[in-house]
Amino acid sequence: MTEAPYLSIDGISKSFGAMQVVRDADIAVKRGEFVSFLGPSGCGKTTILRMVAGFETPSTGSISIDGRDITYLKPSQRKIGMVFQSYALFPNLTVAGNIGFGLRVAGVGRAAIDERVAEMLALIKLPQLADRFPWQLSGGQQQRVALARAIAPRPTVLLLDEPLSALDAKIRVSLREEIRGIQQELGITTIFVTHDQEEALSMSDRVMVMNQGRIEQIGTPAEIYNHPSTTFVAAFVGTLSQLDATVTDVSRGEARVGSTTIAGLGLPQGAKTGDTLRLALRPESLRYDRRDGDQTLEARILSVHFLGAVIRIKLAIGDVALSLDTFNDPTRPPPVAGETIQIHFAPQTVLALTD
Amino acid sequence: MMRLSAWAALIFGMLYFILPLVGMAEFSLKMRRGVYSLDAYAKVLADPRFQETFSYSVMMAVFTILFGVLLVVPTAYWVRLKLPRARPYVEFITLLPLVIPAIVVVFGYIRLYNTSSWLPLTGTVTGTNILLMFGYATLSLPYMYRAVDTGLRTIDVTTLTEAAQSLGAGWMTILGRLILPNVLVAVLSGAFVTLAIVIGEFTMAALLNRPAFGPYMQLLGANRAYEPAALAVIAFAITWACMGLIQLVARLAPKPALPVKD
Repeated sequence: MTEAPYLSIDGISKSFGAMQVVRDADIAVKRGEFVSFLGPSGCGKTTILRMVAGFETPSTGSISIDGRDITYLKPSQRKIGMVFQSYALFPNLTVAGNIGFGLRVAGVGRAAIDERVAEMLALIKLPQLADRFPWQLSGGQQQRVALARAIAPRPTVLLLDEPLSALDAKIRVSLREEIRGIQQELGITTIFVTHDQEEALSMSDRVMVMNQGRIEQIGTPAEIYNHPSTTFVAAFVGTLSQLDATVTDVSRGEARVGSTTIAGLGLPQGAKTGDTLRLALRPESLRYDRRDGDQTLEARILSVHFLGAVIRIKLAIGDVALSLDTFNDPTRPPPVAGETIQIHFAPQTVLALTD
Repeated sequence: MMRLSAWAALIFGMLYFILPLVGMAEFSLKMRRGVYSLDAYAKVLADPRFQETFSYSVMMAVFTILFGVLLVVPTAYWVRLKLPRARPYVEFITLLPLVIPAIVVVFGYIRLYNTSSWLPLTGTVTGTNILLMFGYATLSLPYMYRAVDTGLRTIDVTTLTEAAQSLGAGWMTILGRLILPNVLVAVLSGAFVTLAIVIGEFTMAALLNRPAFGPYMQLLGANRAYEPAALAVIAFAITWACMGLIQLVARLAPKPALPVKD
């Protein structure tokens, strides 16, 4: 028997005037799960989050938590914790005052508030900053306090609205690990909105990719990356090189790309000989060295980008551009633009896109 | 050369403002022939009408400020939060008292709320006081609204409200515990301008026949020589004390939550 969803979003849509920003979205989140909403700006991910928080009302559909319909409840009645991109700490309150705010509003006693605040400060590793005001903290510290403030009243669901976007790259990486650690420690059901695919893939149990108000795919990070179900997901998550191909033999999974025939492809269901389709390759699927069963293509190096641990090489096969990622090996001479090389890939790593 | 002319302009400006004040202050000390004395001040402060009218006006100012805060803070907050498109219209309405003379407003009040009207506020002392308070609040509305609206501009009203709502806070908690403390300096600056307006206001108090400080100053100015100067110095001292208080409170006020560098 499958576990009933803890947070259930059923067929919600949202329109602002004539513009429909969310279209018929269905999402079921399990208790304690960390789900990321990933998509480009304006795709509707924040609107869904705001509907869960109660700041927007769905035009159609319903939202329930643990079987209780919350669609039309006021935000203050939902027991949902939220962390904002701009921190939104109360400037007139100290760190302790901010963290204890939700408890004070709920009428919790002074001693219990002090105890919970101390517990939260220990959790975010900032016990020494209890008496500081928000303007005396760094961005990373402010966001930690905002997180502690959101989880102090023990919310049913935690919503994170691009909480790392305003931070430096280094702080962002350390804080995302910290957020994930705290979420796992507390086992709190969490929705994380981001347009950063690395954040979504590294933190989440599942990722929901959205585009133009629609859910394109929901799956584990590995499913989303390795088996994208639409062209948009394939192109949006990670880097992708695309090649036009014609199916030549369905039984052998064979298609022709220019003058080269590639066999052993996972062709989409219903594909027929003569169909045109688009093949996609991740930069890390292409290799210099050949292994058994690999397909080989000849390509010309257009440019070489040294990224430290990785070297990204832009290649051309006829008119088609591809990217190849290889680890930096200081013992080998770096590739040179203008050279013609042979590149290899396993047919199983090729994604066949139909739409 | 530029520096010299800048200093010259500054000194000229200071003299332009300070010399008349110095002259007035000196004149207020000359009540006793041949020597400087504080006789004029002693006479003014000892006058029971000064105490009566000043305390009346201060009390009216306190009520006007309270009423103004209760009216303006939620209105400006709501306009910023929910009705941003209505802001120009609300601002226009709040500016009307600057172009409609106080005498027009008070005659309108008298016509609307006289003893034969449906709400005869002028029929009782308390009613007239309430009417006067409304009049003062109207006169100070452009300054109070502007001050509060400027204060609200320095904070992210929408996100702070949503953060508080997600933590379970209702509207009263949000206004009382978050918005008001964060715009306190702005409210105080509006409050002190209101105090200055109420203390010096003549037209409304005179036409509603209330014992306010404005009509007393006018009466004294028409009949005495040294006391009006002493009274003006006292009024200046009160205003400057208020401005000093604004500065003091501004230093102690919460600052916006801009992060320090990581």
